[in-house]
Amino acid sequence: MTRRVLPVALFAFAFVVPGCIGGDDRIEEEAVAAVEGFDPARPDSMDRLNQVVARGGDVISVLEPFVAGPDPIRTWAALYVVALLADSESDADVLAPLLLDPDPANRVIAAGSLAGLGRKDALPVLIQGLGAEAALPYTDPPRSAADLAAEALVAYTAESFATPEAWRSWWDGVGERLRWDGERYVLD
Amino acid sequence: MSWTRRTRDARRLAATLLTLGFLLVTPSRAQAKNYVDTTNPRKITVTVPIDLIGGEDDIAQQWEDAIRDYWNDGPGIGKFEYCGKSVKFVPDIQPIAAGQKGRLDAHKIRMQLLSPGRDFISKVRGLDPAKNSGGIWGSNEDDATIAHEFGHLLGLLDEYEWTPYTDTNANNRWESGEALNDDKNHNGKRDPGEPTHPIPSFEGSIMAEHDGKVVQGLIDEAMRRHGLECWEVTWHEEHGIPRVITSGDGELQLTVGPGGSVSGEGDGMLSGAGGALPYTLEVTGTREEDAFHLTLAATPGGSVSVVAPIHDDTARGIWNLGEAGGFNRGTVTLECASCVAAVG
Repeated sequence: MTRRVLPVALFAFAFVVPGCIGGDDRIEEEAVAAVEGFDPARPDSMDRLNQVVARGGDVISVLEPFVAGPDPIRTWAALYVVALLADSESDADVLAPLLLDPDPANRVIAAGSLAGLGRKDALPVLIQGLGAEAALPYTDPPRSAADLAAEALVAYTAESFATPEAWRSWWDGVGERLRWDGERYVLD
Repeated sequence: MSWTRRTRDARRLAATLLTLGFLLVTPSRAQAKNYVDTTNPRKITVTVPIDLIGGEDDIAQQWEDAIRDYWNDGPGIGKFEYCGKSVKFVPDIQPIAAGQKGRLDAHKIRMQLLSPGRDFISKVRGLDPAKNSGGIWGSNEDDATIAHEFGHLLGLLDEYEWTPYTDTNANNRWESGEALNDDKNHNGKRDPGEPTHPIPSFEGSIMAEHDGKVVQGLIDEAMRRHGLECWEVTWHEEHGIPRVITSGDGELQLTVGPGGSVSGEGDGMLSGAGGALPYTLEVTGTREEDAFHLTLAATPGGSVSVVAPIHDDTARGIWNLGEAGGFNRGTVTLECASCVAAVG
């Protein structure tokens, strides 16, 4: 019996346990490397960001400094990953400052994610984004920020208006009475 | 020999045969991801098998519908044609659950499950339609994006670009005096706020713009990338030689499939002393490296076999037969219409 258990235990200590302990660190390192090394001229750079997203894990805290950093390419790359993976209050706190970002595309990307996390203050940013002429960076095919804003608004309010003015009017009328029910914004 | 040994040997033999069978079948199937059927004289069918890893039935159905809407009807444009035939795309998307094996001959697309409003950039790697493509698509992608990514599975390239500067002296580097176009801050990199734009003359294409459509140029390019050739065929025949009683003329477009099989159908007119008689001509056969081997079948009428040697991008065949009901002599001329690539 001992002869059977011992090799299994040794195997576990040699491979499985270090893998589990080092797993989070490795995921974080890969996330940081993908953002630091992001080069829009190289197609595999986008693949690396998507791999980080597909793998998931808790990488938002290590990417937070890039989100708030001075390099617009690094900011976008980090925001891309964070906005796709955010699923908690603390994740939302990382995105929230970007609702005031000077880049309209960054505002809409952050707001699209925050709207689905129950942050009502994302809705007026999305409505403002409907009039934005900015393109979403590096999208394939090229897509406007206004298009993403419209998608998020329709999905999370179950409303559909033809113009930004109509959305603004709706928000002015009911904004204060809206609450998040876990899936969308409903009237109190 | 014991029963156990015989059983073991039989299993080995079965395994060997299975492996051999697998090896015999795999290479051709694994190389041909998209199946092109040109046997129908009026229709080309391109079947694109896609294994959607981690996907679900409703998403697969939704994406198939989106692809068909864009690629088969072309919103506001009508049915697409190539070489005189209608072109039909059949997206065959099968969800593949975790741990389940997919098809050998299918593109492998992983689905990233996402909530609405999250900006995901879907990608396809490997744009050769004859080889395996992989990629990742977001579950929240809209119809336009799925139609664009499907274009990549047909081997089509993006038709947008980021042009940092006008390289007037064509030396591949920016020099003082050359206009800076898309590189707004002149740092040599494409920053997030510096968008692409459609390549001139590609505006309105779904491969160039999110709000674009499938245009005929994309169909032509996709057919070329699948190895299809288009030949313009004209023929002339005479009956009752040496005293010509009737003669027939007509033209059609001939599609050459990836394996060299040819098919085409067109209309002709037989005219003579007795008046004019319309008829149809169906052409089948093969395209070898140096010649077409064709059968021309007229309805009403009969059929004739002819070999047309290829010189550059043209071919010409002659037949001269003595048949019951009169002599029959004719020529068929083929000119390659797709040999000069004209993308757009």
